[in-house]
Amino acid sequence: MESDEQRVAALAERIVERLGAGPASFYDLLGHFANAEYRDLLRAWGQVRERIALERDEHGNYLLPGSPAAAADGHPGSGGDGR
Amino acid sequence: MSITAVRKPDLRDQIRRLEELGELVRVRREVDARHVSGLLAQAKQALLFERVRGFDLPLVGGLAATRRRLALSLGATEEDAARRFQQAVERPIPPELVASGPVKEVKLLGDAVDLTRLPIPFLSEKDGAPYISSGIVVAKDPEYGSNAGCYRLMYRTPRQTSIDLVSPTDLRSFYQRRLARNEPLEIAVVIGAHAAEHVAASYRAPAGMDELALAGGLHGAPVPLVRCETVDLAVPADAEIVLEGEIAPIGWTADEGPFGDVTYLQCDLRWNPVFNVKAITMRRDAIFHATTMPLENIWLAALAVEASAWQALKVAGIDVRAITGTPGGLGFWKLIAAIRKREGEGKNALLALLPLSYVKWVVVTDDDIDIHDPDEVDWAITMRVQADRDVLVVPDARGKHLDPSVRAWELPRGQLPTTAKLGIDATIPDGIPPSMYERLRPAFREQVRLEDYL
Repeated sequence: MESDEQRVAALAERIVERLGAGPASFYDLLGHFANAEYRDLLRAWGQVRERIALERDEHGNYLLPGSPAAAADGHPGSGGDGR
Repeated sequence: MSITAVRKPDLRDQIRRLEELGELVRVRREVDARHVSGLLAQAKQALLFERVRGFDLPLVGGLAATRRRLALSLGATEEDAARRFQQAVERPIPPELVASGPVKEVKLLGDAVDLTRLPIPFLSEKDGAPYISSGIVVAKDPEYGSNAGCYRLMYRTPRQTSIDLVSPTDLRSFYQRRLARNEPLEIAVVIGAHAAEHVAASYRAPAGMDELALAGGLHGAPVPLVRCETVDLAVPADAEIVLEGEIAPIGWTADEGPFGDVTYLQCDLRWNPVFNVKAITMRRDAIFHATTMPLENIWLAALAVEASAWQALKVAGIDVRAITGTPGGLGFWKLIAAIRKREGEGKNALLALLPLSYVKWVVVTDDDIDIHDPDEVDWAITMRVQADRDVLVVPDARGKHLDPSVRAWELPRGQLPTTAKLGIDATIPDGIPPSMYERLRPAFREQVRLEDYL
């Protein structure tokens, strides 16, 4: 029987595969993994974020680093200057 | 340290009070945390989800989703909540350090720290990740003293969140000072505090004012504080959960957001620092508190603005009878005030209220108008306003970048936006006798009851 850790690690790999297929919001991931337990998703997401420096596009979607859809100008969104 | 003689109410007292008043309902059916936001959006009351699948903690939300519910939580009426707030500003009660409290019943340190023990909900469709939305962040600075404020935290990993420090706030300035020395800033995030602590933390207090003393003034009793385990800070001893840790000295470099915000809009992706969690302490049977957007954020902050509005009209010598905000007006971006008017005071009231920060538009009426009834206010504007005499537009006033109509993205970096403020004097125009506004009354209305005929 699959342990908790194995199940979460497998889910993390599936999240990475999904992001490899194209940009996705967290909401997209919740829908794509609708049958996964929410807490497992939090843990798996944490593993993904610890391992991979995810990028974001101008819509706020997550992307794997170096993917073609990543914003060409680096940091989309608002800066930290209090604006 | 002292033993506090008078115990101030905590979140559980607030929950109990709201349930007794029919303002909170318990959900006994097991719920998935991804559905909490959708259910709260449909609810007419606050909801306590007793069973959240996969978690040991129940979740409560919607506690401040209406002006009435927030007032009741503070032991006040809607009419006098703002005045109670002003009294607390004038007569704060400093917090007291105590030896221990319920928030110390469970201590998770080191490898035991795991944010996934908390049922952190996913709130809006476009949010970047699940959010801790009810956190009161406590911090201190050697020069400026202690500060408590409300900040959102986006879940990243079991020991890390992003924290939104984009807006100019005390916490941001504390962090900037540490960042200049390449040092982290210690913080503690309080989850599950009483509404009074939230109202106080939502207030932009003047320098030197302790928000937790303001909370004490609202309670009529000091907030008991306990020392944290891993950071040099003190937190409410009766809170449900406390996260202790540091904001890392990385500057505004980590992705945070998007987030469905107080404006009813999905605000954009931001770049912010991260919060590394070193310890979690909590009650043995802790309740996770989620603040839903936008309404709870609106009403928690509105009280302070209403209190300022009462003061502004008092300073202007105007006999104000009632002040309110509306959900559509984001609680405090629009104010409606009813006054007992003398000549010219409709305009004076506008001139007193429009300068208040965040206030974008104001309607002033006579005190025969029930300003809590939108139809009454509409009627007053329809029948008492001439647009070329009674509408005041103030261009180029200080604006907020949260308002898309100010087009903040077109501005040079670092420049703050301006806005045009609007005032509508819906009082009976000077020179028109009040008898012209005698209202019709259905004949014998008080002598018959419809229920007797149905």
